[in-house]
Amino acid sequence: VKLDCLDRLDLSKFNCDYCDVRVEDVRRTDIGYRNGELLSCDSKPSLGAFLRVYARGRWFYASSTALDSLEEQIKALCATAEGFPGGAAKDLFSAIKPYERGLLNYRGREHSALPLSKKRELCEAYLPILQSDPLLRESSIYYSDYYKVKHFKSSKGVRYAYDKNLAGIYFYYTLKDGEQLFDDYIRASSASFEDLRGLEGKIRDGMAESKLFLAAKTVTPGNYRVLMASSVVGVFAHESFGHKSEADAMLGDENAKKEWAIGSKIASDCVTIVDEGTLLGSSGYCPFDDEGTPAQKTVLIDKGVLSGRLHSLSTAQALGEKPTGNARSIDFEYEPIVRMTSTYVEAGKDSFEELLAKCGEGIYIKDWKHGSGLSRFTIAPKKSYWVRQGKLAEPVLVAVITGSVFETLGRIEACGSDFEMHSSVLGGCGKNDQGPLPVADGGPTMLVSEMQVS
Amino acid sequence: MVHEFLKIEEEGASLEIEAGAVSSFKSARKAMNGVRVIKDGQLSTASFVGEIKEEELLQRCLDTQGGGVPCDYELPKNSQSERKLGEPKLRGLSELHRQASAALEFLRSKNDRFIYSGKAVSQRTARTHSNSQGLRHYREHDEAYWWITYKHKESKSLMDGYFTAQGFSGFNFMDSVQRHLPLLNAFERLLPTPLGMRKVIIVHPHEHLFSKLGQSLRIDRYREGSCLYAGKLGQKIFSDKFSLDDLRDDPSRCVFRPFDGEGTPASAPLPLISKGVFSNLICDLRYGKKYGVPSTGNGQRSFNSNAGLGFNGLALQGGPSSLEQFVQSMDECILVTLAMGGDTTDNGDFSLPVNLAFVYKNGQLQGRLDSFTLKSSVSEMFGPRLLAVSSDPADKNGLNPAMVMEMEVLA
Repeated sequence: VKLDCLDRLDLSKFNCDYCDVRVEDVRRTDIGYRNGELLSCDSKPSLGAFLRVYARGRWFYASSTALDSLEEQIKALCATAEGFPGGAAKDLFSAIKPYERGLLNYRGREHSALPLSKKRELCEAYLPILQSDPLLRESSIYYSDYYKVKHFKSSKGVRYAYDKNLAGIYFYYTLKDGEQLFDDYIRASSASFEDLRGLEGKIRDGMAESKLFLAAKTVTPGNYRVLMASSVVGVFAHESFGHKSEADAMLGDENAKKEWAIGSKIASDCVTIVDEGTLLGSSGYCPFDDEGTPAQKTVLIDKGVLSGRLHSLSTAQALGEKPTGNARSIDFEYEPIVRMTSTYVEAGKDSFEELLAKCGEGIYIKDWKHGSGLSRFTIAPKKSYWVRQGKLAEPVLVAVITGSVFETLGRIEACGSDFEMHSSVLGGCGKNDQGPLPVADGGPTMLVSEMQVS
Repeated sequence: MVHEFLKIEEEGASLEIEAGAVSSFKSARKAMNGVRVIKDGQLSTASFVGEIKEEELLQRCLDTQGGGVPCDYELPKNSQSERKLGEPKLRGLSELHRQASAALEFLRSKNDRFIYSGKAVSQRTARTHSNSQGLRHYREHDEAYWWITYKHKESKSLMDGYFTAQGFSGFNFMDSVQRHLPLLNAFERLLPTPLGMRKVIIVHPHEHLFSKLGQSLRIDRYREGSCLYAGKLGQKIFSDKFSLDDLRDDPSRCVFRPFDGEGTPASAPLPLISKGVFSNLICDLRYGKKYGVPSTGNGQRSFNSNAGLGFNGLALQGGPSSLEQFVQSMDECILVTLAMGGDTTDNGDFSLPVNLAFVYKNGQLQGRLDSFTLKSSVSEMFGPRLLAVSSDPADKNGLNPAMVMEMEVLA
């Protein structure tokens, strides 16, 4: 928990209702190969602080890399607060209980301590397999890792430090047969560097499957029964309902408070969606949020019934609910806002074969490139297959699947027993001007009676 | 040994607007430092976010083991420049607060059926790029931008739409509000979605439209044949109305990169597609050496990375008529103001889910459409189905003008 610049700070002495300081120490490595040639190998350390002062009903923030002047910067924020008209004072902090915690789970196993040569060797061992295919036109390998320690101290006696350690390797490639192209990728992420070894079989199988898509035709646009694989369901959970559960979207919206009352039936009985920041080793791991609230398991939908929302201190106060530990920022430059952590659909009972049989005729979405969500969510699939007579059939090219969040949640017919969580060291969630935020998502294979596929 | 420093200093102020009220204020100051060293044919990097002396950073780079990248090209030499852009009108929180508050008050007075949230940012960026071969480029600019999301009080969506404004010399918040007000006032008039082939105006044509084409414009993918338009350089591939440039130094469209990340001069726009003819590829120093062509000034580099190939400001050339004139001239058109998540299959088929669009008939705003999907293909929408490109962007200082296309509307 020790950090000199925080140890020296007495946060109780400032002329404000509340203040806190978050210091983030990040050591990141990015390595990139293209067509077998090393293009980049960068170590990227950063050290900076985010300071918050609450005074006269408003927040005043500063982000800075000057860690030797934190006290002066807090004083400056307090002085700034004096110069602006006050807002309505809110009781955001009375429920905060002081604690001091250190969760440095990865000390001694930091990815930042591994030599660059070891990380390069990992990548270069995969080059021959990736480049051996005669249909290959272009290939890239990206390796990325980070070790982050987050320190936090508040004027209410909260002090924590926790660390996070994640590494990932991504294989991108383009196959070409005649004039037909197919871009695809294979990826793996883990809190353990050693888990990134032994992916040769996954690469070979993945590339062999990709070849099937060189002859695939584009789907005829329309509404189809859709079977979504686990990784796609994770994105669906995140984009379709996760963002809707972020309570800042309800601020000032009296109508939403009525329509989204806890206890409302909003999805099929088979749907339970959870957000959980305590999953150690996942990219959504966030044991304390950036306001000092400990993480928890928040059930958002319980068997189709709205059961919870994601909160910061401010949104919890505004809606008369409890903070859930979901106030997060992407790094020391940004203020915490309401975000997801690890969001997933809970497993059901059906096997994959049973779900295929229930699907009958439709489309199986196996993986994805990107997703987004407002009232209408969108997922761009990578590999999709026709489902005919309850069996997987030939590949099909799909640009996007989309649907109304509210209608689609009610059209989920079944969830499989094959639950998986998916982490990522590249990419993440974007909201407002903050992205990518590391999140994880997951779920089982899931059957939806109707979605638009085009 | 050749070494090169890149220092980026940012200082700024911002405020957040939450449910119609200014909820927080922020000041920010950040120093970002990077060094690249070329020694014995190997290029190494080191960087640090925070305060650090150049000598210490250089030593860290020299001490790094195993990070060298093969390098057979030379960095630019003996070149100096200094440019400053913009006016620090909005640098202070007080001025930002004054303008944002006035614009919010105006919005509420004109249409209180929406909940407004957003952010206003004012930022100064100073960038010093130097190397041991006599290169030193300094550029500094002030930039301000804001965005407002709006959500109808009876809407179930997270947000229904947004508008934005940006500029190097500050901007008038009220201008962006007034341009968008007619759409807000038409929001409650929900119309049935007209299906089938329709005239559609994409107000903000950005990455989801150009991503697949963009692959073909890179020299690496083009030469490898791993892109849709491989082998078509010099050929007519799109409509006469379609001209696409890489902008480098056009402050009126918020692009200010007179030198690329490697120090290669890049002031004039690089024409990539000229009246439908595939005319150029982007290239950096590394691929220039590899393929025996000069860099086009497209070596992109952050302070903490080696250089890589990328666009400076991929932008359509405007046509002869304004967006307003197009709207007035068409018997019926759909104006798309919010579309997210579109994508293109590897054979060029394109789909774009639309969240917010409006219908105009004979220049008159009729009302709003519920969400729908647009369908086309790269070759169709930039080819025979492209009707026009407007002379002006929908947002003042925006990068791209609007595109008018025939596209298929799916429910």
